[in-house]
Amino acid sequence: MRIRGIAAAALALALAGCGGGASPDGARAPADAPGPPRPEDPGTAVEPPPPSVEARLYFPSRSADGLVEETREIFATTAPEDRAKQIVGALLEGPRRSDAAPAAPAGVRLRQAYVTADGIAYLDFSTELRSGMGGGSTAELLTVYAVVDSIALSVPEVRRVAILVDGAEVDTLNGHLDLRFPLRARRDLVVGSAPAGAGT
Amino acid sequence: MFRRLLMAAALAVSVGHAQTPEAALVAVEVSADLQHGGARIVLTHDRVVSYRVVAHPNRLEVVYGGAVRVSPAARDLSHAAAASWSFDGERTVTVRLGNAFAGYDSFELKNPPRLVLDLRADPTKAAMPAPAAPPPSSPRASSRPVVVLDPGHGGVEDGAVGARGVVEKEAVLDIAVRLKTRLAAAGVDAVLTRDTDRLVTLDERAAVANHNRAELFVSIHLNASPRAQAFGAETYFLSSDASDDEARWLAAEENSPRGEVPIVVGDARERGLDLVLWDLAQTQAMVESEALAGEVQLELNALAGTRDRGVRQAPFRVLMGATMPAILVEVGFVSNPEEERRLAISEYRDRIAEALGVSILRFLGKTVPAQASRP
Repeated sequence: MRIRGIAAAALALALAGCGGGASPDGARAPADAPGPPRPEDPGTAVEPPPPSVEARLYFPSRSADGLVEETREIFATTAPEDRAKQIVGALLEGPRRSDAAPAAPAGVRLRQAYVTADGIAYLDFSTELRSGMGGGSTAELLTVYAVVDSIALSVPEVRRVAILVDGAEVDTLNGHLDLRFPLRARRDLVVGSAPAGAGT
Repeated sequence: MFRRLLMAAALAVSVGHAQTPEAALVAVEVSADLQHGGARIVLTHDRVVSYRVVAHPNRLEVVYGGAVRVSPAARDLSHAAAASWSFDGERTVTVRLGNAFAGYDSFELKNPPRLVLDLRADPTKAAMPAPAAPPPSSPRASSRPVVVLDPGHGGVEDGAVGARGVVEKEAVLDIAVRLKTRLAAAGVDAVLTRDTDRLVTLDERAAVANHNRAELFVSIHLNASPRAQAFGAETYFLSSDASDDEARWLAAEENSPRGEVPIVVGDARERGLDLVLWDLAQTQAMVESEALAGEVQLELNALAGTRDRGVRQAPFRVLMGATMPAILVEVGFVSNPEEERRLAISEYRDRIAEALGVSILRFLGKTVPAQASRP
């Protein structure tokens, strides 16, 4: 399962690397190796189209007033952690709209993701999530809820999100928000919804 | 669900006790640490037990839910804050107060479960004979309301640092000291969680407020954002996400004195009631926190001219364990050049202290109409 997750994340990254305008159709290319031969004409395709699903990503607004929404196509994989990894991967890549800012400090990686049967996503980030965090509570708040909202509002199996750093639970990232307990999504922090492309 | 589990566990424990008779009396070991400013009496229990602390004019009683064994059963302390303790042979330990007794705090610690009574002595009375007037029945010596001010960060933790060199831990301490002076002049005692440049844990900060039975807990911070254009003040109170969790209850249970309020641990039915009462009290505290946050934002905008970023909610760790209305004020962004310039100026810090002072006093005026009405 872990390997599959990493593979999916890698695919998502590869996809995103192909260019800004990745459409769901673009997801067809890197299908699983052992598959039926691909027909030449897409119109008469026999194989089912590779499933994709729209995920909502949330980034801090440039004015730091709240979160703004963007959408991305991700693989509609069965395992919720696979989708969570794709979403975090896209989040860490950064925003596309001009009124949005990066969700996390530079250099942050997602080490691992798990989703429990009762709907808690555990996301384990690399140490830069703490060390790269500036001093302010606003920065901390928007980073935490960019992650929480993106996952909890895009992965239906997830109700709450717990953030770990370097494989361990943390009290706070920088002395402010209590991360000892999983957090619910906060829709009230969203100040700009997603008219994809056109900024507010 | 977690609560039900807790209750089920507590029920199982009490059923277990009922089946084992005398040998299972709860053992209580009492010890005292006598210092210049006060006496600390620690009652260590060999298991989790229910009890309450009752304050009388000249004594404190620790009344257990059932019969206990106490050792030593009595001791003369001859201390300014605590004269002695004695056990009635059944379920009550009585601590006789010294003639300079000036108030007490009580709180629970775990592993092993123990009750700590901190009795304070008034140094000005310590050398004098027993006063003719009865000592105050309230655990708080003074009838002046107490507000706990919490300057953020400290010690190795600088907090946010601006490009011009304004350091959060220094600026917020300065603002807190100015605010304390203002409040004192208006008849409100302010206790600071730190009055020097030292690191205080987030749990300790709320504990200071709980142990002082503060009316309010006000944490003061400077903000920062990677985006320089962000500026203004915002005031937070706990989000409901945090409060409807057991998190807050557990946090407060760790570091709260309950005074004359029963501390109920181990009895399923009473524990359930405890949680209900806790929820009600917290709901009220949240409403009041929001009201206070609103006052603060208004005054910061009016008196200090700070841009109003509004009243917001978030699960701030430092607010988690506080059992009274509690807010965290971000008075401005050091990451914004103009706001950092203002935050470096003494008069601007005074205006912030004034704005906080006015809103706190107005709030206390609403909720504490007359000192006499306080228990």
